[in-house]
Parts: sequence; C-alpha cells; structure tokens
Amino acid sequence: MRFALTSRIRTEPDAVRELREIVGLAAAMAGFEHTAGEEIRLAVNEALANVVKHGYGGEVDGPIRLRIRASHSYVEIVIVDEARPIEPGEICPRDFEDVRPGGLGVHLMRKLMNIVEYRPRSGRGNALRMVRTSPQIEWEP
Amino acid sequence: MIQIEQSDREGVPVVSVSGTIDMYSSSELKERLDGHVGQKAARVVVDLEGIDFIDSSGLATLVDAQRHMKAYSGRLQLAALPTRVEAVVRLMHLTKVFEIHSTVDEALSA
Repeated sequence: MRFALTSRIRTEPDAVRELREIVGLAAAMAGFEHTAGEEIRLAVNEALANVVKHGYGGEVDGPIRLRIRASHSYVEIVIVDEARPIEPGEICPRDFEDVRPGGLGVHLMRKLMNIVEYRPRSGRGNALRMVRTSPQIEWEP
Repeated sequence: MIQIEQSDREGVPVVSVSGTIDMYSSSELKERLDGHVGQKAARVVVDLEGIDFIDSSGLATLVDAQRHMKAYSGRLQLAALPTRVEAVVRLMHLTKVFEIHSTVDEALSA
C-alpha cells in the first residue's frame, strides 16, 4: 500500500500531537511493526520539537508543512518550516551520556531513522528529510 | 495531555503520571518534581504506568530531578514503565541512570 499526505499546521500543541499520531498511522500502513512505528513517531516528535523550540522560539503560531510518503517498509517524512534558516553546521547532537533538558532530539532522530538530512531553504526556513527503511534499529550494547 | 496525581504511601510521595509527556507537558511534571526536590524529599516514586508517550524533554526532566535529588542523597525511583517507555529509556542509555522498578510496591519496598 502506498500512502502520501501533506499537512500544514501551526505550532500549537494539539496540531503537533495530531501530526505525531498521523505519522504513527502512516508507519503502520507501510507495514512497520508497532515498535518501529513508535520509533518513527518519536523521531518526528523530536524534529517538530526542534522546529518549535529552536526555529520559532516556542511560539504557537509558526507554520509547519509536513509531507509523508510511505510504501512497503519505507517511510519518508519531510518537515518544512519558515523559521530562521539554520546551517547544518549549527546542529550539534548531544551525546546520550550528557542528558539534560534540551539537545538530545537530533541524536535520537539519527538513531531512529536511516536518513536525516537538513538543508536551509534559500532565504526562508528549513527543510528536514527523514527516511526509515530498517524494520529494526541497531541498539548499542 | 498530561495528568498528574500525587499520593503518599508509607510516608513516600508517589507521583502518578498518565497521558503524554512531551515538550508541552514536561514543564508541568518538572514543576511537580521540583516541589519535592525543594523540600528535600528523601524518596519520590514516579509511577509511569499510565504514560502513552514520552520524548527526550520528558526523560530529561526525570533525569534533572534525579540528579538534584542525588545531590542531597535523595532517591528518585521510576515504576511501572510501559514497554514503549522502557524502550526509549534503554535507547537513550538511561537504564544505569535511573532506579527502575516493575511496580510501585516493588519501588516502595526497595
């Protein structure tokens, strides 16, 4: 089954949470098992959280466009915002050993998804592309 | 949405959390836990049985509380983690940071 959806929201809590649920459904429709679906949902949550906190400074009125494409064992999510363009070099994932509020989202996204790509959009906002193809992620011992 | 209930069992505060702990709700949990930290509670049990989602901000809130309590030799105990929550805790290498119990009763008798 193939599935594609584009959703435009503002960064207010209910809309962000609803998007999270939609991503979980898309993962299920793509045939990912429950655990993988939860991981994809978490990765998208972390990405959206970063847009809200770091892109829009916590405001609840920032526009976000999210596109999901899913087919058998493949989910691609692209998140586009209109916040300050961020250079990829500014994104510094924090190691899991350094757990404190803020900063772990990028590390989690890279752990949970097979591809995580950032790029600023010329003069206006950012685009984040994440792809998951693996049915399971590798956990370090 | 997050719901937080507090009770006292055997003289130990038990903070029962249900719903979602994410960037919008983790501050409410932080506020509750900060209250116990501020009072230098010797032990606090956080019952997570009712949680259906937790993200990095939620876990960081718990770690923050745990570290503050540890600084005065207090204990923050997590209990009844749903499978999905325990998976994220393990993914973030936090099993060695937290004191985790299967049930609230087990935490109280530890």
